[in-house]
Amino acid sequence: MIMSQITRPLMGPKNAIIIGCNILSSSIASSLVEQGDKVYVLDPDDRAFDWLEEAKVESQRIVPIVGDGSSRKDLERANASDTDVLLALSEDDIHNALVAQIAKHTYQTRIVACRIDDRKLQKMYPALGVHAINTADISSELFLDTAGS
Amino acid sequence: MHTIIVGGEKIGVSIGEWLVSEGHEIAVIDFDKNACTNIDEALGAVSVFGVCMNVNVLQKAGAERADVVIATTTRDDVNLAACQIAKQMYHVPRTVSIINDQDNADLFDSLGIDLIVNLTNLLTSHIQEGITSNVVAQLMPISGTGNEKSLLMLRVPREYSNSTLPLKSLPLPEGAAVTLVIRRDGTVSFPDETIMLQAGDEVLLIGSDVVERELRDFVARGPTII
Repeated sequence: MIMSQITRPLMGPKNAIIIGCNILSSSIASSLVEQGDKVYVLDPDDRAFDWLEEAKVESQRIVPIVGDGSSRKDLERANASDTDVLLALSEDDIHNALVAQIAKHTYQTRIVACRIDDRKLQKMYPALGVHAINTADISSELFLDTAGS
Repeated sequence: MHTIIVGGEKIGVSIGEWLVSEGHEIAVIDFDKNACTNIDEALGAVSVFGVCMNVNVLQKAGAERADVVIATTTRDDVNLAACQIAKQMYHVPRTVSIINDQDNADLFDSLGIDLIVNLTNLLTSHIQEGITSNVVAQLMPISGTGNEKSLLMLRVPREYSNSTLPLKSLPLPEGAAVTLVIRRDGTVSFPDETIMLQAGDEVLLIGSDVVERELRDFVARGPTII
């Protein structure tokens, strides 16, 4: 365990898990694969995998897995104990928050971030050691900039 | 004492009934309008309609002056968020959460939820006790000891009705201890080398899973014939 942490390169190809398959996560998955990473994408609904870039799924650089991001069994199917990055990007803030905390505390995943679109909640999570990103805030800023100019 | 119950299904309502009967003030949060109507009928006007993750809803439930938050929904992510919001934003002194997925037990514990009620475990051990004549029962896990100990109860089985079982003959590895002996007539004695147990007596002790197994095996062997 300690050895693998030491020898694991900080840069270079990584294993990543993305929770929730949507237009945002599919675009992030594609970019990570282009950097050389391997990405597992978990979603309970297999229709959501239509968002993923087909060629990358075919070449198995993106691996879709039907499952629940808070289930240890499903996370382990996505290689959770050997993953460097976990991004929880579903539309459900608190589901993301739970999965992020599982990754951090149960699998000691090195890089963990989750999407929390509720502004008040998003402000709370850093105190709990969870890196929370408010995608709604970021896009609303862009729209407001446009509307204001 | 003001308690906020998150989730107004059967468990939430039943806890609410108990708190109200003890004279405490409660608020019950549920996102289902019908559930709220039922809550108000059962407990008086204490329901708050909405989702607990919404800070405005928690505020309406009186989070600022709450002493306890009890999360009783069937979703562990909701229960965790409710407890974390209560602690982080409103400094609620005690948070209690039901967990539905056993795998979350250690996580919730390390995240500082004060009391975790593991429904699956509770039900399983209850059913085990009911369908087997289990002589050793796990009454309550003792958290915070770092090595998974529980309060155990040994009930001396019928096989011992014609003989006695010296208390000191119980196999107790290091770290296990007898705390109390309850005789079948209801009298209570502190552990003592000279106690001879009889059928129907109960022994309360602290020990790990290993102790539980060893005791069970020991008692299953039956009275020793000398």
